[in-house]
Amino acid sequence: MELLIGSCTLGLAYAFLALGVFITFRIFRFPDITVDGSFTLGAALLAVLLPAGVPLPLALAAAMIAGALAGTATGLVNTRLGAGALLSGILVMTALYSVNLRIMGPNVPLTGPLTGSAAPGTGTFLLTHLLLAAAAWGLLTLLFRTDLGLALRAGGVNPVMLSALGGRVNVYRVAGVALANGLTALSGALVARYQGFADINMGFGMIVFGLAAVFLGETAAGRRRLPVTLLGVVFGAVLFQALVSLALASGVAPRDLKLLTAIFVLAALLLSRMVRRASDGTGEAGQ
Amino acid sequence: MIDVRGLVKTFGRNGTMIRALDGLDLTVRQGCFVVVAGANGSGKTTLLDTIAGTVPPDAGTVRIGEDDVTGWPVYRRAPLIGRVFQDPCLGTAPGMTVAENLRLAATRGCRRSLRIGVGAAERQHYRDTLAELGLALETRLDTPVGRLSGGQRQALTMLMAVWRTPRVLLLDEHTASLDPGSEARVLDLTRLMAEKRGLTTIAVTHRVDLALALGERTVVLGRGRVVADYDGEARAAMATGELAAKMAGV
Repeated sequence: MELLIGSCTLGLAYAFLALGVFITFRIFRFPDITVDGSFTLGAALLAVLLPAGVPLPLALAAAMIAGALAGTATGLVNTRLGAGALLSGILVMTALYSVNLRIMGPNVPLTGPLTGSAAPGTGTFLLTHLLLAAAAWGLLTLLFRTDLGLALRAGGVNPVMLSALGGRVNVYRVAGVALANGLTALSGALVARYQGFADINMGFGMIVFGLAAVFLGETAAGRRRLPVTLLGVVFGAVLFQALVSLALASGVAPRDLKLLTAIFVLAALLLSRMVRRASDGTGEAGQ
Repeated sequence: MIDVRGLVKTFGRNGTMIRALDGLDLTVRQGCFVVVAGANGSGKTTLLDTIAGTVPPDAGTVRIGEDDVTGWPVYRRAPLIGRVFQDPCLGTAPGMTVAENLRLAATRGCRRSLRIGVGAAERQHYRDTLAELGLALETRLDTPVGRLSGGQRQALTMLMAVWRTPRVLLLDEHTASLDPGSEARVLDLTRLMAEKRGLTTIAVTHRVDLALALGERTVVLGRGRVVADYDGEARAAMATGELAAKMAGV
């Protein structure tokens, strides 16, 4: 039971990362690996702001804004300087490594009010993450139903069409990558808060985690409408974290975790393809 | 009215320079439907691209009405221009529903806000409009466009291009990838829209029959220039073989 609650709590924190990866990969078709840096950025900011007496909501907001700025940088390198999506992400992710070291050093335990023995119980964490994930799902669902949201989605699927309809494709792309990295940084901050520390390497491989959650979520949601797919992605993050926790609990050495993660992702991808082939839909993923 | 003057565009391909447009001049008066015909490589699509703004000319000017739009980016020209591409996939967002695609068209050239895009009023309006056109799409508002047939999709693209009446309609071999039945339906819709709304229209084609059957004027391009221009009685008397010879440069 403890394993299940822990997996749900951590999985819901990772759900923000998964939603961010879904937005860049599926909606914008933008393979963004900035998330490995922006995840740590969120954690680092929370780890230095909380001990400095900044209230938790403000620290979370600061993490999100910083992540959005990192995403904006990636988007601008891509759209203004003409670098490819992958290169843009690599450049900003590399720069963020130094930024994160500057912010917190190699690692930092969380201190200050509501940390250590005064930290809230697992139930409180679970409830908080659940409410935040529900709010994120609701807001994203609403956003993608607005005129702006429709244009954001169209810009990813068919930039030629959107441009012909008067949409500024590059502006939308930067906004989308910023939103995705803001969510990712929020995820990093929540994970750091839950684990009680932030580490410079905690973002390493997060893109793979996010992709796994997206594949699992899409498979679970099937070819349904966007709100259901978004919910599926949240579920995918929780499920993937549960699988990781289960593996660790069954004796897999932590050093093998990344290998296991890669295998999980591959399995999720294959499963997702099999389900897709079996379905009769032709719609785009994530729409 | 469209007025292009001295358009020049050169592309470099495999080390050779190809002049797609070579000082092309063309004026289309307000409300006129012109078919631009020519063989492959005659500059038809490049002409549309320079008018739409997706390809900047090396020299020359493009005017739409009173506006010199030569230096305008695509998004700025969008309120003035509706375009239907050859590939039905290019004109719509496949994973989004019919209603969502129509909403995108309804906000063409407008600032996209945080207002809910497809509300009850919009849905009713789309349903009524589609029912009037007989496209059998009024019951499929929630269907992802990717699930429509090529003909339905191109008809939807056509409708989207003129939803907010543009000053200019550009048709880029828009029936080339359709089966004969779908082509006939899309051409009927094209005529209906162009006439009903009095649109200044340029359609490009390499098909001789369409070059004479559509619109009221036929302009033949060859090597990036206008080589022939027919309207009125001269066009009505034109035989397809004669036009084919002109297009082939014989």
